[in-house]
Amino acid sequence: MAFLNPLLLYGLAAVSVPVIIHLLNRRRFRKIPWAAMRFLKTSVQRNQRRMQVEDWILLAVRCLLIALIALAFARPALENLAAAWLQPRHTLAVVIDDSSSMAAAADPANPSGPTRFDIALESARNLIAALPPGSNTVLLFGSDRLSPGSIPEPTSDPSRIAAALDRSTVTSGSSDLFPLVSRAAELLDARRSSHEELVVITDTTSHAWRQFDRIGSALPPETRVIFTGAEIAANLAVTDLQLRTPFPTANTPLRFDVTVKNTGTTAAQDIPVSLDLDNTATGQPATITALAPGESQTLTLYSITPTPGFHAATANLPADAMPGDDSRSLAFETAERTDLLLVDGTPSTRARDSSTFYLKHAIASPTVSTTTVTTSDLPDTDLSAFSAIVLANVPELGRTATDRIASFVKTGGGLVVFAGDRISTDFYNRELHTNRGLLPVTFGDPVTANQSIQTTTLDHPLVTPWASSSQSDLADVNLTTVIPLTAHNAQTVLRTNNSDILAASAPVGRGRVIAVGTSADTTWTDFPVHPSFVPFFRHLVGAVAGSRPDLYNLTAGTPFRFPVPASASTEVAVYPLGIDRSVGTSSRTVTIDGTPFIDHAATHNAGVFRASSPPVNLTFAVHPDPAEAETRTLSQAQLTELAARAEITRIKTAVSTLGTGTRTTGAELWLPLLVAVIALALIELFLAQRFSRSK
Amino acid sequence: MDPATKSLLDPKAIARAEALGINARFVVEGYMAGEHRSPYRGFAIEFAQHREYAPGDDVRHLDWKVLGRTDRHYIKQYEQETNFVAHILVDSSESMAYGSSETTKFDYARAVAACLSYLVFQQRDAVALGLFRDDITDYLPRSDNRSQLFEITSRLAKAEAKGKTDVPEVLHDLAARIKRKGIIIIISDFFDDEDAVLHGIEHLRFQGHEVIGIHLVDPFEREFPFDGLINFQGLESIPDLKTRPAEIRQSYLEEFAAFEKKLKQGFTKNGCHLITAPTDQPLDDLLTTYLGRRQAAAAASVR
Repeated sequence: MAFLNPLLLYGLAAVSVPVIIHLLNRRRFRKIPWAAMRFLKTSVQRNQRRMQVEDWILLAVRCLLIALIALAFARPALENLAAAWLQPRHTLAVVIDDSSSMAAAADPANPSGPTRFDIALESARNLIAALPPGSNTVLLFGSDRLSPGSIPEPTSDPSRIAAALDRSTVTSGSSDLFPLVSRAAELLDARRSSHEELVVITDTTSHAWRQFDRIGSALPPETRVIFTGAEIAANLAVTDLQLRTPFPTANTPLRFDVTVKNTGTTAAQDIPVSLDLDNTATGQPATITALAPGESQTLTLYSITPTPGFHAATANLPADAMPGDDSRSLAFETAERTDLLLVDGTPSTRARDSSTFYLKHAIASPTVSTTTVTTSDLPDTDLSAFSAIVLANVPELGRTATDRIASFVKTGGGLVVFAGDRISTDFYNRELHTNRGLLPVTFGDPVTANQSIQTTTLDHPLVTPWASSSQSDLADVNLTTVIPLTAHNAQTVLRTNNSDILAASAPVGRGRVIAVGTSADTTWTDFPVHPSFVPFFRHLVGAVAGSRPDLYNLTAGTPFRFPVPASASTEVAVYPLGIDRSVGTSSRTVTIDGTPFIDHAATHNAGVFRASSPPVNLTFAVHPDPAEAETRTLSQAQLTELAARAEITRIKTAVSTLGTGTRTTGAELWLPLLVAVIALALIELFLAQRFSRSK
Repeated sequence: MDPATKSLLDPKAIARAEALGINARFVVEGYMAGEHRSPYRGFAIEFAQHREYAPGDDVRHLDWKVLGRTDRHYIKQYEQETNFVAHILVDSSESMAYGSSETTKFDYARAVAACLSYLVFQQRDAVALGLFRDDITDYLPRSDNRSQLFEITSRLAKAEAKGKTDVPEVLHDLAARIKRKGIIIIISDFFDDEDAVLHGIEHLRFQGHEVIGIHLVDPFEREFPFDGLINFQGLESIPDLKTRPAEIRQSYLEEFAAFEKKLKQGFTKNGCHLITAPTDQPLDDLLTTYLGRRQAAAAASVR
């Protein structure tokens, strides 16, 4: 027999209490002188033996009562006792990590064998099967949020549980155990069963435990953690894929930067990296010669889209132990050509004196054309023909022009604003920033002093090509006058050497706006004549022209939400690229603040997808969180701390090592003991009353 | 000055004696003035003779049998035995010292003895007083002098209840000692061997004495109302006894009732009166009850 609360067996010492009370009572006799002793003596002699026996019986009953109470509290259990009615009712909450890393092979030496997730499911099945009849189970699948198919409320229906386990699949999500663990702990806390237990089944990666302290605090007293799969020593992951071509145009080479990281603990050599375009291999694969553990390397691959429109590029690595990070997709849009509208704030008969002179020449190419207008031309200009608008030293805009440009940006157009000696900072601050929410910065007062561009903080994606020393050094650029910018929910692109913000960028509506605090011509700076100006300006405009890539490229688990015209169909179809649309999901658009949106929440799996709400047809890509590719495991200190709060089991390769019933305690006997206690209490009451009657 | 004299002169003792005397007088005269007033004034009443009816005589005393037989009117005349002696024996053993209230059995016994003495002296008869334990410890010879009452009450007030009892021995001793027939009044709790006690009674009856027993009982001795855990400390050197009285109450009551019954039956069998006197019963009630019963018995014997 085992005891679930063995320490409470010390309560058996309380059996001595009735004995002590009995002995103490012997000293509590009241003394009374008595004359009629003769009759008393006869009566006592006649009843003495019976009274002694009754006393012993009562003492024995009371001692047994206390002994049974102490035993009941100690919760004895008999393992071999199969009586179902004695089995305690359990509530078991199972949290199963279905993040991307769980798709890895449990045994790296057997890539085609069971995955970590397979082991997790089998473990869960065994644990649930070992529960006593009538027990309840909560099943929570998830990475950093709950996955569909979970059973978030306790159920005792075995078929429902089995179906949920059978239907579950690993996702491309990024694991964070805290939300699921805390939810499971809350569910268990609200239950009133005889036994509650939490089981967390995950792999060994530390990324899932990034909120380690909070997870530890949330764990209920009965917790078990099952680590599935062996540690992975070698793993390469595609952690980033970016389209670097400023104005992606059909039938022109498109430059893709692919970043590969060695997240394993062993060095890798000769790593082939290939690029697919719309699920078709394209171009020649590149090779990374060597990659040390923890090192990242970015290489450039090129491809061409034959047609304008939405496409998807996928960078691939050879399959390894963690397949979820061996590829990464990027959805993008190419255009036939790119048309830019330049608004000249200082038109001049001398071309070189206009604010847009250098811009026009810097941007011009066979695939990019520019149109230059003045502010007075704006009201009559069809903005829909352009991908982006550049305001160069424009003093201010009329109301109509302001309205049209605001609408242009919010519906996906790009805007670049250059400062200059003629701009009305009051107009830009009051009207464009405050009233319209169009400008994500406010302009300060011009500072006339020789300044340069700070090159130590070139971390914005627009200027990362200039962060390395191989590019022209932006530090050579001379700034004679600068209007410092104050960013309002905008990212800093450039700073002066005085740390003032020189350029900032922010998404506005579906478009993007970049503000530059110096002139586009040479009145305030020599940047237009600097060798870096052309690529810089092309990058700048390229960043705002065309579709925003962040709208079409999502981390797994992020809902895909895209505005469509009011005239678009309310029927929405989402399906994997290259697969018949009938395989996908169908839904309807949702209206938010009067605007219809495609709202697709099922982005649990990485890949490229098509979303159709005619006439809108677009492509979006879902990629896993690069952090999920890390193979680092919990530190020994963390494991020790975790072991103090939970029972840890490791299942590296086979489920059979998980013993069924390893946590079963057998039939608990507290209930029959309690029944015996109640019965004894009633017997004691009856006997005490009966024995105290006059004889 | 010797201790006996000193005790006699003890103001408290004198006060107690006077109190007994006063109380006895109060009780007896109260009885005399009460509803049970009777021509049979006295303790021992016997029919003496007839005399012819004269106008003004109380017609209650008309002898109706004689009238029926002879058609002549005669009045019964009763003669009080003027030379009877009432031997009042008071048990002064330790068991008499028990009392569940302020009045012990011995206090009650003293009061009863004082009252009876007063009553007898009222009738101009003689009283002898004996205090006994396992033998007679104090004896006041017979006297019909009323002034003897103070001496009686003094002796009673001075006495203490202690020592063991031996009622049968005392009764036999008395039977041997007293030659002249009289009334023996034994005031005791009779906590002794009933058979032996009754044998002593028989001896006295054999000698021609009238025996009256006044059985003093404390209400607690009769009801045994104790609860909890009690250590009963025995009087008269009887060992203590610890018990739970509530559990043996029934048995005790049976024992006590059997004792009373046996005693009663024994006295009745010997033609004696046994009055059970609970110590919570007022004295006048006791006297009223008994004397009224005696008078009724005497009247029956005359017819």
